[in-house]
Amino acid sequence: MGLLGIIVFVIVLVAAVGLFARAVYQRYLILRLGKPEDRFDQIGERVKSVLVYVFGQKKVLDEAYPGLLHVFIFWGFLVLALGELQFFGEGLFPGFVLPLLGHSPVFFLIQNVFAILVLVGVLMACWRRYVVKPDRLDHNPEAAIILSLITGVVLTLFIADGLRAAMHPAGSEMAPVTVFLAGLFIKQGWSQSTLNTLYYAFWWIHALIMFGFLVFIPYSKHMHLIACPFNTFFRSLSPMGKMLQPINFEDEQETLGTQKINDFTWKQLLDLLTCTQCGRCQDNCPAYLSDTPLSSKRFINNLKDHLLECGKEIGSGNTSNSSENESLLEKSLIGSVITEEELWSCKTCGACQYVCPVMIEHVPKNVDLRRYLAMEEASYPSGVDNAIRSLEDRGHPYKGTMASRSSWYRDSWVEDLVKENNKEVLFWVGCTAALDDRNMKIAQAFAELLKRSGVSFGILGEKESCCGDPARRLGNEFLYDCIARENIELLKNYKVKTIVTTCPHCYNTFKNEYPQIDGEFSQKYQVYHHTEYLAQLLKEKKLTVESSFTETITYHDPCYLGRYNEIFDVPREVLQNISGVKPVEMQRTRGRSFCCGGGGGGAWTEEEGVRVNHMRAEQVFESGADVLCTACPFCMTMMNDGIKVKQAGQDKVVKVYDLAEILEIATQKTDI
Amino acid sequence: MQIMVCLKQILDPELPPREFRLEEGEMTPATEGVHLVMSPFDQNGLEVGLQLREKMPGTTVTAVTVGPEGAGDVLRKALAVKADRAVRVPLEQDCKLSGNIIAGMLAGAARELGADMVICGRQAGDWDGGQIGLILAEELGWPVANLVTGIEPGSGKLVLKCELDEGYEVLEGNTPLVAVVTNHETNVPRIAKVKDTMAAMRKKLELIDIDPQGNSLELASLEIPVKEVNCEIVPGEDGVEKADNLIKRLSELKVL
Ligand code: SF4
Ligand code: SF4
Repeated sequence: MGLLGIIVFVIVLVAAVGLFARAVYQRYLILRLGKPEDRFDQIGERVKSVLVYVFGQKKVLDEAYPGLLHVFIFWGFLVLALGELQFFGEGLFPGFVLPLLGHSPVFFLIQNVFAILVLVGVLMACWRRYVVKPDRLDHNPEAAIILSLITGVVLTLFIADGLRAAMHPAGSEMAPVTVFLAGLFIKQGWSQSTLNTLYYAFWWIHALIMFGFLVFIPYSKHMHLIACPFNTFFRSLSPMGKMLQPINFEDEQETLGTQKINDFTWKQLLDLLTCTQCGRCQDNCPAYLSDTPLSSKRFINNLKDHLLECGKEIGSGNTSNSSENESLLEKSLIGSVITEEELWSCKTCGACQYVCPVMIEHVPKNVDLRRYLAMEEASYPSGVDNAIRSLEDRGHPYKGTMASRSSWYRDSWVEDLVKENNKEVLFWVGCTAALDDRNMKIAQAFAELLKRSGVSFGILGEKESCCGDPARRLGNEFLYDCIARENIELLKNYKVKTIVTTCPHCYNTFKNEYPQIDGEFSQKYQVYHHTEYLAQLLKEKKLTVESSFTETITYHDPCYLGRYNEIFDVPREVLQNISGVKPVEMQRTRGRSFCCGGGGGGAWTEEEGVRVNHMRAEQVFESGADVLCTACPFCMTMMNDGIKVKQAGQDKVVKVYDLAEILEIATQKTDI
Repeated sequence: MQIMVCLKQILDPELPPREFRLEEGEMTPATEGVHLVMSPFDQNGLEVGLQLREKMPGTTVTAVTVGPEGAGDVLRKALAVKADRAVRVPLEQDCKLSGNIIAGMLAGAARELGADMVICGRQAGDWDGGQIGLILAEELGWPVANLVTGIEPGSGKLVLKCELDEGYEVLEGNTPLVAVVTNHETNVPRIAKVKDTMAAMRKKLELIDIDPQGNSLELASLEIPVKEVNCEIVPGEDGVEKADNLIKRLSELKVL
């Protein structure tokens, strides 16, 4: 290429890189709006995350079709990017050879193959986006532009390379597409100079598309190309159960919870910039699927749009904020960017963030916004206000219950446990198992199992209180904090070393959240969910299965046990221990289990339209199970109701049991 | 205008009946392990007072309770929803005194505070006496509006909306007056904001000593009625089997 060409190329390159860098810098400035958050620990683990999730595409591949097409395009582009060095080099300086790779026939072959994979990926994407048209994908021109640019990049590369090979093959003899195209061009009988002119024409088109793509990235959802590796690096490394950050109420707090965009932390803002709008979260969001106003995807993207609006002024280098910009930053998100109704529709089930391929954490953002509503405005939806009042006044969220914490064991052998309660193993019953008629049976079954296993255990009876989970999910962190501290003090009065509970919410609170308040909590107490404890008792042969249970059972993963604490296998193993059990899985299972609708305060909000528990009940019937087994009192209540409603018109009767109840039956000496 | 709202701390009225116990050998309900709360109608009364204050600048709301030190908790709750002042009239043995004595003490507090209006709940959620507001008005010699659901400032007068069996009546008048409040969708008690709750914890509760005076009716006996319930659950896998067994059992018992 002549000097002029090189100069033009350099100018275009500098302009493109400059525009790209400016846009990225603007995004960086936007992140600086956020509050501090420490995500710089465990660097090794973080690097590993990038290798596994970015380069390994682990989460992307959770869904076969979109996963595969993404892998084709992603890996294809990585390989092509290397080839670009040779491509541009030899265009600018004829005879340029990239050391090692430049004229390697294998590299040309690999490039060809990956370029084809990119095209296959693009075709698969087009098919999906324009023929299948899944609900979760938005229909905007952005995707079309990106797909066209990618296609343009690959086609121009092929053509320019074919033209080059028609002039001098230089190592590309093994690359089938290049060889084929070179042959085609040679057949045309064009002169060397025509070939050369055409080569440079396509070379330039290719270069311009590449640069256009580069500039387009930070302004589009393809920002994720840059943001995703960082978001993956800075991802939360703790179990989902630890995702909510405590508030130190002893410090003077300006605003409790999140009101404005800059009340979020920088990592929460990075999350927003990273969203690829793939819609996987929405496909798994019970709130969206049950027709509430909330969609996990829209939630993130509405916040993102607002953030970008706020960032426009700051990012343009005008650091002295204009007044309009200030007012945008001062704008309360609730009511303008997101409605109260959307916030309260979330079940905190975590399905969204479990499936998000770019590690976005939705739930803490929702809860932070709820915190503002709950603590600064004392504004709750109806139903929830009574739960909160009841928690404040009487330490449980069940206003109007006719039961007390001693109802489930009144006049039984358990009463003695309360009187001489100073055992090392504490069965923490939890509000729902203690106060709800159906759930009392679970408490009874589990106590029976402990007795049968010879475990010496205690219960706190009337002294027990709520663990604080409902207050925390409903945004009243202050109430949660008070309850948690009282419970931590209460436990100090006993010899307790092991806490076992039938409620995944209590379990999560003790296991992951109390340690945030009392740093020694995890050292002082071993916390078990009853499914884990029962599995251990079976293993130690303290419990033996005496009878068979010959029904088809499907296990419903409670969100706070499964996704929040990664306990998926243990309950299934316990079931497998029982002879005769025929396990079947529902379509939505394990990490992708569908919420019962009871979490995040859902048990107290009034649902309109389609109910989540009815949807889950339909999924149970579809599985063909006779028995629905669960391991959470909220799930029990919600699913029992759901199954009752959806039972009409079904040919089989589905029974709902807790795992403890099934084991209690199976470890008795009679067949059922 | 100075509004005084009377608040009573009571045994949680949501306590399941079977959990209600008496202190060993005494005629007082056992409070151990039982929650104490602000009487529900008093909560409505407080809400009516707070709403009126919002509509009439310069108005203050003072929460007053008669009771032992622990009763200060209800005053803190009132401060948390931003009552201006909180006053306790100390009294250790509240439930053994008749309503007229408590009403007298509250009237004394109203005079001492220079209140223009006193708001009470229609009846306490524990003994359901329903006497305080009326006797208090009598003591003060003020007019009283009963079953008030809300008070609005009108042109030069206050407008009180009161519930009737069917419909409602609207009363007009000037202070001083006593309003006896009942619950209504317009006076659902507000929930305190966290920062206000935190501030309320630091605020001082005032004390006004007033001697209990007057004749009291004596509580002569208090017991929990014993109900005998013989319950038998008819076994059966499904409705049909249960019905069959029920008929069998009823015939055995010669009921059928
Ligand atoms: S937590 Fe569950 S309900 Fe809430 S947004 Fe995510 S998927 Fe939807
Ligand atoms: S939040 Fe995650 S899963 Fe949801 S649309 Fe964005 S990238 Fe996809």
